Amino acid sequence: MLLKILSFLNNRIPVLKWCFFAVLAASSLADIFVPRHEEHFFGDPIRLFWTAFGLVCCLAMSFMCKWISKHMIARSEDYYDG
Amino acid sequence: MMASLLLQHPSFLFILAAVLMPLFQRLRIHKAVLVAVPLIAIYQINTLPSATVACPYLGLQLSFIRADQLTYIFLNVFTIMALIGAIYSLHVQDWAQHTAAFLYVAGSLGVTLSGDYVTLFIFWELMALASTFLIWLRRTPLARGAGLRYLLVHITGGLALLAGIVLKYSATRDLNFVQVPVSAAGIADYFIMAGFMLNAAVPPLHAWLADAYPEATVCGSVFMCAFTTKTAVYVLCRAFPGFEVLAVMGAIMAVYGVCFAVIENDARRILSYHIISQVGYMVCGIGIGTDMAVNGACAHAYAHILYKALLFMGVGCVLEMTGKQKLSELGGLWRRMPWAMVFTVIGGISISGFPFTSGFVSKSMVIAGAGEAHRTGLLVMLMLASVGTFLSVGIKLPYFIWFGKDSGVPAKDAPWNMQAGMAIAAFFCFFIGCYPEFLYRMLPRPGEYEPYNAYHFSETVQVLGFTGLGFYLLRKKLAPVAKLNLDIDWFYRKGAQVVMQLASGPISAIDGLVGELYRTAGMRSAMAAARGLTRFDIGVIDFLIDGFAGRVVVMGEHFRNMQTGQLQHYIAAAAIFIFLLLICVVLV
Repeated sequence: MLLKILSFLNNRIPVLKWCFFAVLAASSLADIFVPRHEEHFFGDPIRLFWTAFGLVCCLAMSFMCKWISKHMIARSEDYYDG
Repeated sequence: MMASLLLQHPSFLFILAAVLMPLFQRLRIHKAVLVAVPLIAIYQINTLPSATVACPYLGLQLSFIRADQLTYIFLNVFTIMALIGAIYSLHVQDWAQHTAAFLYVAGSLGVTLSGDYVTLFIFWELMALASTFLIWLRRTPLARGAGLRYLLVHITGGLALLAGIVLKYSATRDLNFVQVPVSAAGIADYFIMAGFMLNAAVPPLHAWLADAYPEATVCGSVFMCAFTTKTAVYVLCRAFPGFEVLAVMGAIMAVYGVCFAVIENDARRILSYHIISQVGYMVCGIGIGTDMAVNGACAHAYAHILYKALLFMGVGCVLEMTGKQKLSELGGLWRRMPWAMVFTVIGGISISGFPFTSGFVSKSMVIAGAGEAHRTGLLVMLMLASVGTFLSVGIKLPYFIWFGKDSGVPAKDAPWNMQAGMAIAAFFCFFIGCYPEFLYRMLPRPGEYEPYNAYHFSETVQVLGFTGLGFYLLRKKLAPVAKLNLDIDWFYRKGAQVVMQLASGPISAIDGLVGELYRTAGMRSAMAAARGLTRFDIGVIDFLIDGFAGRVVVMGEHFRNMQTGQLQHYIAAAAIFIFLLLICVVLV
C-alpha cells in the first residue's frame, strides 16, 4: 500500500517539482501581505527577508563548509588507524 | 521510610530489572519486563511526593526525591523515551544491552530527581558507566576504542563536577542542588558548570559525542541520543539559568553542529552533530534566562528527545538491515525500506521545525525568547542553524539514503517492534505539533505562547522552502564523500598516538639503555664494593674485637648444611628431642 503511493509519486516527479516551486512562490507572495504584530529585530519588517535568508544562507553554508572540509579538515577514513 | 522511598523512586525498578535481566531472559519473560518497567515508571512519576524527601547519611542530607514542575517535564519525556527505546530493542537477545540501557535510564531519572549534589554525582557516574557499555557491546574494534575515549572524557567531566562539589562544600557546607544566582557564582559553581557543559556537549567539550554515538549499538544509540545531553540540559536549567556564557556558547554550538552535519558522510555522525546543534538551542535558551526562553529550552528538550530518537531509530533500522551507515555506500532504498523512510522523514521534518510537527512549536519558542530579549545576534545564529538543520537532516540524509543513486544494497523493512517504536515517536511528533497545549501545560515557568500565527507560519515556510531550493540547486555538490572530518578529538586522539610513539620509541630506548648501564656498570661495582666491605668487616673489625661474628657465620654455615630438606629426618629429630626431654623430666 505504502509502496504503491510512493511509486505513484515517484512516477510524477516533474509534477511534484512544479508543486514545490508553486509553494515557494506562494510563500513569498504571502509574505508581502502578512501583518507583523511584533517586530523583534531588523529583519521582521523587511518583505521577503526570510526568502532571501533561507536561500543565501543555504548556499553560503554549503559552499563554505564544503570548502573548509575539502581544504582543511578532510582526511582519509583510516586516518586514525595508523 | 527507606523501603517506601525505594518503591517511590522510579530508578529503583529500572535498577532491579537491570540486575535481574539475565534471569528474566532465561525465564523468557524479559520482553514483558522491558515494556512493563517503563510503563510503571510513567505512572510512578505522577505519584511522587511533593515535598523533598531527605535521608541522613554520614552527616549529609541526601535528597533522592525532589519533584517539582521542572523535574516533571523531564521525567515525563524520559519515561516515555524509555518505553519507546525498550520496544525498539525488544528483538535484541543480548541481555547485557538491556541491562546497560536500564541502568542508564535509572541514572538519568536519578539525576533528575536528586535534590543535592552528592546524590546527583552518584547517578551522574552511573549514567556515564552504563552508557559506555552501550558502546562497547557493539563488540567491534572501533567501538572498543570509541567507548574507551568516551569513558575517559566523561570521567574527566565527572572529576570537574566532583571538584566543584568539594569546593562548594568546603566553602558553604551546603550541597543543595538549587539555582545559582549569577551574581553569587564562584569558582566552585564554574567547575560544576564545566562538568555539566561537558555532558551537554558544549564546544570545545563536545567531540566525545560525535566520536562515540556512531559506534554504539543500534539500540544503544537510540537511548544515548535521548538521555545524556538532555539530563545535562535539565541540570543546567536547574542551576544556571541566565548565565551569559551559556547563551553565547549555545548559539555557537547550534551553528557549529550543523556545519559539521553538512559535510559529514556517516549517517549516525550527522545525527550526532545535530544533537550538538539542537542542544545548542536549549543551552542558549537557558543562558538567555527569561521565562519564555527557559520554557522554550524545556519544550525543545521534550520535542527533541522524541524526534531525535526517531531519526536514530530510522537510521538504526538501515544499519541493522544493511550493515551500513555511510551515505556514500547507501542510496535508493525507498523501495526496500519504505516504512523506515517515512518515519525518518517525519523525524527530519520535525527537527527542521515544519508546521504541525513538534519542532515547530518548541524551537520557535527559544527563537521568540531570543527576540523578546532583543538578542539579535543570537536570533540570527539560531535561524542560521535551522537552515543548516533542514539542509542536512531534513533533506540530505533521507535523500542520499532512500533516493539518489541506487546503491543496490539488499535490504528489507525492519522487525515489527522497531517499526512500532518508530511509530510511537512519529505519533508524538505530530501530536505535539498539532496539539501544543499537551506540551505547554508541563512547562516550568509562567507565560503564554501561541506558535501558530500567520507571520511565523510564513517565515518558516519561506526559510525551509528556499533552503530546499538551495539543496535542489547544489545537490551534486553536496553529494557525500567518503572522508573523515577532523574535530577537537584530533588533539587527544593524535596526542595519545604521539605519547604512545614516544613511549614505545625514545622513552623505551632510554629505559633500556639505563637498565643496561645499571646491569653492566652499576650492578657489578655495587657487588664488588659489597664484597670488599664484607671482607673488611670480618677480616679487620671482627678480628680486632674478638672474632665472634666470624665464628657465628661459620656455625651458621654448619647448621645450614645440617638441614637435609627431607621431612622424615625432621620428624625423627623431633621424636628424639621429645624422648630426651621426657627422660630428663622423669629422671629429674
